Amino acid sequence: MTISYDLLKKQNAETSNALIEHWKDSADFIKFAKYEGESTIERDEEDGEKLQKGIDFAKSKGVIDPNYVPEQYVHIDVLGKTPDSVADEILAKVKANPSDGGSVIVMCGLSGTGKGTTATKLRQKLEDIEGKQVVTWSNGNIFRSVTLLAVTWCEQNLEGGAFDKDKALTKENLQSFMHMLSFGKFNDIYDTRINGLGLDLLVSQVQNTELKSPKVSKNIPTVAEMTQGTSKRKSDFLDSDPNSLVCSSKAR
Amino acid sequence: MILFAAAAVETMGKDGLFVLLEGREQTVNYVRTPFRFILELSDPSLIGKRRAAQRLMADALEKVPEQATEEDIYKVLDARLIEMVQEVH
Repeated sequence: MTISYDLLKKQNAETSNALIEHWKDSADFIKFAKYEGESTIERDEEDGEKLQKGIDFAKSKGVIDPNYVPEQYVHIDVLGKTPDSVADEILAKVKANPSDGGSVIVMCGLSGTGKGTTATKLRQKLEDIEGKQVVTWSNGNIFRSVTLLAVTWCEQNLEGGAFDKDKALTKENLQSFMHMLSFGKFNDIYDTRINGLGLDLLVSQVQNTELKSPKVSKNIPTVAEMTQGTSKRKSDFLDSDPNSLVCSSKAR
Repeated sequence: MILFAAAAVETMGKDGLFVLLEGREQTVNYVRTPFRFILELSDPSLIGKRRAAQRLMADALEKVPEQATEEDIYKVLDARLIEMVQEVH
């Protein structure tokens, strides 16, 4: 498939598959993909370790119930499947257990398994075919947004501008960064806005650019580890209705 | 932050919205819902290829005008690939 402007603008699995096919014999692409793959796996492992450390800390502080057990997960191997067929597989299970009103569908998995792409497909099907009102939420994008703010703070306040977790991730700074995030309707869709330190961005527009830049990607695990276990109640974080959600953290 | 997300998501779900929540298992565990899915990829080499393609296609979209021909797009993509390889090696 050739890469037209229309295809490039889609910025979806169709686009990425076309690029992968275009460069299938390219030594440069194979080298770059190997680097991205290794970095992703390394970051996922680091993420997992630091998140778990943060959660264990939160449990020790009584912020999270140590005996909490989540509902069972359904495992889906996405190899050889289109995001469309993965979305259909998920939708079939959701429709087999209908609920009144809304529902929460949780998708997790390592980087590169298509969570974001599948979420987009699911959203289209739920809105266009099922007539539901849908909101997509990415925890990763929230961590990335806070990391972007922390990195920007370092660039603006520290000599040399290098990331310094001890100076950037103080209780006061984290509270300030969380106040720079707001969730609500922007351009008629639910989105998260990053507004502060000279930035004014919508997550939907920068999730594959600024939020996946190397300076953000390499520092997310540290930010994720240091932002757990800072409140006693879920309600401490939520002080607005869901249609105009301001992220606030009453960190202690 | 995970409790913040859990609170926001549960509130939206109870408000009649369908909420699609994606994230790492450790963080999404704390949202109560029977609909939980883990996406896995049994060919790990595809992870790097997809990620590389996503970075390059996002970058190229910022650099090409709306009237760009396929030839223009390939030129930008191929040039950026060379630059990005040099940045990481």
